[in-house]
Amino acid sequence: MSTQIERVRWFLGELKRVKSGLVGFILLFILIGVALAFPLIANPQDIANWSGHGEYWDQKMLPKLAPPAWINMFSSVKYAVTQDLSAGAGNYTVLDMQNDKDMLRYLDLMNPDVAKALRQLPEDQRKTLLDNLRKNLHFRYLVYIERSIVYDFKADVPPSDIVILSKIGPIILRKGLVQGINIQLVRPDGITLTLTPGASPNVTNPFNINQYADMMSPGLLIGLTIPTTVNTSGTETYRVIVANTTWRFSIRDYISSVLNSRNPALINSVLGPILKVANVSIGEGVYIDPMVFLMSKAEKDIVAGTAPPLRGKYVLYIKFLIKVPEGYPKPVFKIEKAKALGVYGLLGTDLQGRDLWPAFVYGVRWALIIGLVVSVISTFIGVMYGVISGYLGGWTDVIMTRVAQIIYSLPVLPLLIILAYFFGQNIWNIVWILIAFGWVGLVFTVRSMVLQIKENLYVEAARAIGASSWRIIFKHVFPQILPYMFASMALSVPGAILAEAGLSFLGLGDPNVVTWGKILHDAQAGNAVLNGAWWWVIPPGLGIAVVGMTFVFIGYALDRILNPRLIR
Amino acid sequence: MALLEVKELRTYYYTLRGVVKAVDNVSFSLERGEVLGIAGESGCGKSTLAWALLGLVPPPGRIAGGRIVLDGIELTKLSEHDLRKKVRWKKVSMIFQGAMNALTPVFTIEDQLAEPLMIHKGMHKNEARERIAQILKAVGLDETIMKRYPHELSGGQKQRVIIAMALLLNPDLVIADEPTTALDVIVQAQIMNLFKEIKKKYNMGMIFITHDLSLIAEIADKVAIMYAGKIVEIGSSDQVFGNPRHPYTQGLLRSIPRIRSKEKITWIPGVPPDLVRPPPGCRFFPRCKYVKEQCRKEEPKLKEIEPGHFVACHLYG
Amino acid sequence: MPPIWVRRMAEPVVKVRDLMKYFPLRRGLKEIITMKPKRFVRAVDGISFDMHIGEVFCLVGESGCGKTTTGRLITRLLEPTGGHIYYKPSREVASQISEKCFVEDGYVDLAQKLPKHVDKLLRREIQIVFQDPFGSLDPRMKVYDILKEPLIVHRIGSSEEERREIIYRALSEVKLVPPEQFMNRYPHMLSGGQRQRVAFARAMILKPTVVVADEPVSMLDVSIRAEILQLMLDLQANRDLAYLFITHDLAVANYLCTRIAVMYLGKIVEMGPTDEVINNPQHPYTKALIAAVPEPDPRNRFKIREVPIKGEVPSAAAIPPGCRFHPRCPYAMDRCSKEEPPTLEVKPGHYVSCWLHVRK
Repeated sequence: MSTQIERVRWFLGELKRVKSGLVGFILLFILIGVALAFPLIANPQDIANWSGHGEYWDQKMLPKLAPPAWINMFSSVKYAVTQDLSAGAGNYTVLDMQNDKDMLRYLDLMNPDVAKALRQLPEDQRKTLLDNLRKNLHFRYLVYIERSIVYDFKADVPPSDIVILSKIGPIILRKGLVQGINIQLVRPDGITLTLTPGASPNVTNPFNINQYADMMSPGLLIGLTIPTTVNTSGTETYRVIVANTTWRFSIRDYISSVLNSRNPALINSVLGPILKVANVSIGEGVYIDPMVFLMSKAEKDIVAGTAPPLRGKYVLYIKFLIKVPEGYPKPVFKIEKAKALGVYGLLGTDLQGRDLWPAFVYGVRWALIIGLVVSVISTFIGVMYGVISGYLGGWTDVIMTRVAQIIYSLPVLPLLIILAYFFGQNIWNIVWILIAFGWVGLVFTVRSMVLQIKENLYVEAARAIGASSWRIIFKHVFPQILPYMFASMALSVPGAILAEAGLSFLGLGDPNVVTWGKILHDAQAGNAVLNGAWWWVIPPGLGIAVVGMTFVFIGYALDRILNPRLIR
Repeated sequence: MALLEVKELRTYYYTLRGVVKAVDNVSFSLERGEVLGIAGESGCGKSTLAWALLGLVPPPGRIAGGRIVLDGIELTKLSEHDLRKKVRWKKVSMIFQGAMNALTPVFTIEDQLAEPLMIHKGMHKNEARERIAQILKAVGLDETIMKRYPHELSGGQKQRVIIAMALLLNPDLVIADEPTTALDVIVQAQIMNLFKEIKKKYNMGMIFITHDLSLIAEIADKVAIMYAGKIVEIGSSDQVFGNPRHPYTQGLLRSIPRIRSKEKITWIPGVPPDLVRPPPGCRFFPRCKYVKEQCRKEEPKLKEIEPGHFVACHLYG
Repeated sequence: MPPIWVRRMAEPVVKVRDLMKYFPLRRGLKEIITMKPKRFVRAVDGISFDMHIGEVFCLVGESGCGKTTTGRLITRLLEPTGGHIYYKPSREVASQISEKCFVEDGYVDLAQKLPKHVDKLLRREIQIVFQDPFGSLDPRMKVYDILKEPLIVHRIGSSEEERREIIYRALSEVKLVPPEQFMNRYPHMLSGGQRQRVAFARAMILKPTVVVADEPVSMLDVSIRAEILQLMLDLQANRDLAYLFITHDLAVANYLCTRIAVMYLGKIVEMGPTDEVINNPQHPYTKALIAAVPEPDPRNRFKIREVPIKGEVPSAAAIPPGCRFHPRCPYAMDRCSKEEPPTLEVKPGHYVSCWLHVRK
């Protein structure tokens, strides 16, 4: 027992002298720490929903292909950071047409003269007239909804998008029921953009339907990405925004679609106010970054995208004026989440808007598991095979060596690819495949070591005593191999990790397990390098390199410390 | 003037465990035509002494002090370049322990022997061949051996080639470190005969280093006995073998079994000291049966107890 | 009639008869295709001798003469190609061996395949000490564990205390005292002489009858050789033990051994009591060997030593026909190159294989 402690102490003492080994062991402890602390430093849900759960990530509303947030620390140009936006002022007013007072207010807006005349009538006459008017109205309630969000822009580079996730509905889009929508963006410089064509830029009366864009107009709802369904009642077919419809509104996408429409009237109606102040026009085929355009000062360079950013409070208003027929529920419009999308998180996001940090951290686990399991098992098999083959000698040795040589001479990579294609859907199958090819490399070295050790006089002395082959193998031969075994165990870890990463990179990995290889595969598929998304490629690549280096350091240190040649 | 004068030579190895004083204050001189035998057990510093004389102490060792004067040249002051150009092979040559296994396997004997001649003497290949034939004859080998490769030769033949190589440039001093250790008795006797002939024929100095006192008696005119990095006794062969005075020399001579008598042999108890921490006083005292109080404290100096016979022991004087 | 395992002291403990060991040489592809016969290194080529309890029997010869191979054959580290090694087991062991294993009169033939447990029992009785005390001890084991290994292998001692007791005794017997001081040391913490003592302790701990000592002092310093040789004699004084001492050094053989066999190229050329062989050598090879031994006499430096034989030992793969010594023999006759000489007893117990001694 005390000798064991002595040995450990001796080992640690030696380790101090082999600096790279010390670094290796420190790195290993850090890696193990990270692997164990994964649930604390990242959200395990992210990994559980990594693949095939698009709605999970839609819900998260993360930017796509966003660089990590910390680049602002190193960059002279400050990027907008991904942040939740606060709601501004709101309003929800309902006019009930059964209520005479509300009815009169409605008439005030629609036809002030009639309203005025009605007011002067005695009450019973007025009631009769109002009842008559009601018959032609086709609706019971008039609902005015106003919501706004505020974004305080302070950076140099505007966010890549502003996204609003909301619940809307029900809204019945029937002929004769004129319903309005008006979305306006008020910039810090006072310029107001009316995003919905047809709506009045200057709203004077929220109940005046003429100041809204008509929701019945074809293409408007599609342009705004508000989902609708078609309803049939009797012979009539009409569209409905059903209750609780999820509406995801991306300003970037919307402005892009406007710009891509190549319709000068449309473009002018949406972006006109800025163009007017800047005194420019948008030429044919000019690419404009919508967010840069929206959030730059209205100057000459705004079309080129080089105008200085316009910092300050941006307010986005979304207003609805909705008519609700008798017997229908009142509509609801609720902003659930609004976000400005900029640089994000510790490691940014990928093309699908997935946070790369949890994936990277989780990758440490699999790198260690794959590396250690493959190297420990294959080294052990290889050493035992070599020891038995070398010690027993004769025909056993000839046959065992031939078998190992055959396996060794197989072209491993193509075979790995074929096997991984057939069995690779499970990460453990990949581990077994790597073991099946990994153990041979060691056999020849171990065998030749054993042949040498076998010639040692003390082995002969043990035979002279009458010790059995097994006793000699385990007492005299194996301990000599042990240091080499540990060293090559450590040195074979990087190979295993690289092999798995390689297979995953080729798309032959386990689709359900997030490994660094898989991240790299996704990055390759998502043209990460072409998009300049270094944060998608470098961390997993560096991770593989660091784990490899860790074990190489440890392996060489073990070799230096335990190698009998160097022991004095 | 003596051919070789070694004065207070110290050669230390600077290891992690400490300074190993492999050769510590060794002085002797050697005349032309004389053979000095240096005897001692493994680890007594005799091989290190040989390396030091050639300036070839392997690291982490180096010459820590003292003088080596060969034919008027102070060797310790020479640069590595000068040693290589002017001294090694030309003035001092060495027959290393196991050198016969160090012959390059891919060159013929002629190629190997021609190289030093061409480099040091600037000889042409044909001139070199003549000289090689001559020297091979001198060491008792046939000329035809020139075209052979080392593996085609027997152990004895290889050792003769090595000796020929050492004599090639007519050096003033030849150092032979255990030249017969790997050989069988009969071949050993033949090689010893060769050394005797060389000694007669060439007027040069020779240092013959071995652990085997019997071999020293076969060739040496002068004998130095080394123990733990020091010379404990030095004198003519007749003096050292006929009248050994140091207890260590006496013990060594008594421990050699003889073929022609069944005299009881004895041994020296204990083991040589660790040269990192040698015992204070006389280094031999832990194994000496005549040990006195003085031996534990005071290091004995070499004293001349009869003309030419020096002993470092407190028993005398 | 007494039971067969009764040991008669006058009988030899080991009788080697026509013992042979050939090592096959690897054939080149050309040789295999042309169906050339297999070639062998005839390391031991038909030797016979007896060993008695209480004697130190010595095999002397130059390197490659087959003396080490003989030692390994007797300890069964190698399997013989032919011949017999008759061994008479001790009472204790003999009683545990079934009668089927005995070939004649209490002897077991070690050259034959034996049942596994018999083989193991007999290994106990014949032990070996190697030349190299640095290599023969596992550098990773402490002295205590090195000595415990034979006890474990042969299930000697029922408890750890008992084993410890046995190891203590073995260590004090080889004069590594106090044993506590040496037990926990690793081999590299011992001097060469101490290591060789551990090797002897390991051999002796199984109470063997025959110990093969393969050049046990040639790698040790001169000043301590005598100590090991004395230890060997002391160990023998207290037990029924025969040594097979293998050496190249005739002087050591002369000092230690009772009988000497001189080997040349796999054969014994001369055998007899030490004094006879050393002082009255009959074979030209023995004479040359003795003449070549150097002595610490400074007068020798003035004379050239007469070594009458020429050349060096040829390879054991190409043994000369007839008397294998004839190419080097100064007295070689016609006959020598054609016929192998018979072995003659020139004096009681003194045998020579040489045509010079055959009267026409």
